[in-house]
Amino acid sequence: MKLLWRNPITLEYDQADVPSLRVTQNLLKIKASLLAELGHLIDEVLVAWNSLCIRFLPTAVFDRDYVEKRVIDLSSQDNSLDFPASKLWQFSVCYDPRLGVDIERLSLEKNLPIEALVQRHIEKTYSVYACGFLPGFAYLGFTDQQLHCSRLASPRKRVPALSVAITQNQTAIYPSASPGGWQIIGRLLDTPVNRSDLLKIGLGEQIQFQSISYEEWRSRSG
Amino acid sequence: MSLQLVEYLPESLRLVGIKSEFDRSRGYPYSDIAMDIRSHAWANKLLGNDVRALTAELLFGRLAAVATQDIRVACTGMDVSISVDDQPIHSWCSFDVPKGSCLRIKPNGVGMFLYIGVEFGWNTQKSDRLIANGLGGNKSNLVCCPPRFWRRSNKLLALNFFVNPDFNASYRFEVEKFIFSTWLISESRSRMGVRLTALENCHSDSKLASLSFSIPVFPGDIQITPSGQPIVLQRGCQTIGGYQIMGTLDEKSLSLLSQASSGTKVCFHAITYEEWKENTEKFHNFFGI
Repeated sequence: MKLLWRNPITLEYDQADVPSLRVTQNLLKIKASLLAELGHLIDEVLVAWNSLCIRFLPTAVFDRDYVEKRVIDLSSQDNSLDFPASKLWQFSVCYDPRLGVDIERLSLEKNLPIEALVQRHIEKTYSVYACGFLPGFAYLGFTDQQLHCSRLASPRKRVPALSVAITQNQTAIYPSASPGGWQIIGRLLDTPVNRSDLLKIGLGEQIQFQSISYEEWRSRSG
Repeated sequence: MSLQLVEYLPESLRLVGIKSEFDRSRGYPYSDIAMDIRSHAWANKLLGNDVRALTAELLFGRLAAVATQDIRVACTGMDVSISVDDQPIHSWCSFDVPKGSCLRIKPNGVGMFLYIGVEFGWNTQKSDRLIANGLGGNKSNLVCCPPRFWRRSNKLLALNFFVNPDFNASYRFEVEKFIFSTWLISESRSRMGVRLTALENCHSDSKLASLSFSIPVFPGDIQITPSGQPIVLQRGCQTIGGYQIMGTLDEKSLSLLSQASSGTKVCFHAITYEEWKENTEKFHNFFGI
């Protein structure tokens, strides 16, 4: 557990070294309690993976010791896991290097044929551990150990919408074009349904990927 | 509608305020908050408006508009030439535009965003009335600043930031290097963030790891990528990020940076907790935020 003030108005709280759905659930409950108790002083509270950040209003007057104590008290309460029944989303992905622009390099770096790399990506069912970055961006865990990789040393200025990417032990879909530092391995079918579904994915839900050819991706993308 | 557009050439034009209606916890960026809150607040102050009144934010603004009723206007932010029926008017002051008169605004020098306030505020209940958008923002494809818009200032822009104590404990040398370096605002910038480039002879061979798990981020946060390139997050930034955070700009510095063009030289000054509090209180009390 780590609790520190990133700056005079932002408290960062890391709940655990290893994220889990229970950790996410706990953080969401802490967030709700803090907003109920101190909402008039708070600008926003954001949750990501295993951490929570409280940003206070710039002119708010508050007791830092009290806030820290409340976060610790709330985090020590036993919170049972109560995400709603998990929904399973399935998406078709083209892993062709023309779309997954980092997949060839990753294949070489990992000494793993592209087909095997794709197989390892599609054989898992992923859970949504955090939502944010952009509307519809879901952080999915956890990828096969052989897919683990770092972020790009410098983020790309523009990642195409619906790109499927990996970093560390995580994977995600970019819902819209944006800058991004993850390694791109494929692209979702570009259909209005897929674009709209990405905005509906919620915490605790599950995602599976299916591989399709470049030709199929071209013919079925809108 | 009190101003009817007759000629319009900015890259983007939107109505903005100081409070967002977007839910960042679901990843929606603040696209309805003024990039330069200081200039937004000045426009309202010059008109005697509440600071929460919306202003029109123009990126690289050039426009002509005819008043459909008597109206009092104030323009702040980027350096522009203003005229009413061809009579020159000073910016950073309020002035009348009689019914039927034509208000013309042309970019004139440094700066990125122009704020047009009207007495009593724009008549709308909802901000982010996006009229057009071409640079950055969540509806745009462009994330780079086209070179034709570079209006670099020769002045060195000094910005205040608070050092993240956690980062300082692990990478003190990186913080010192950052403070003692002079940086250039690169051409890569958007409402999300501004990338900085080290000037020649500045070290940028950082070996910082990115984070294992992404963390929440906020406007003003300074991310350091493994390549050593700093990215200063702007008001329309993402909500979660995976790069280490070296520190956070204070409010005024964030406003100043938003107006600085690509090619501008920037340096950073670390401030204490007390200085942050004093600066913040001064800024907010002056504008009544």
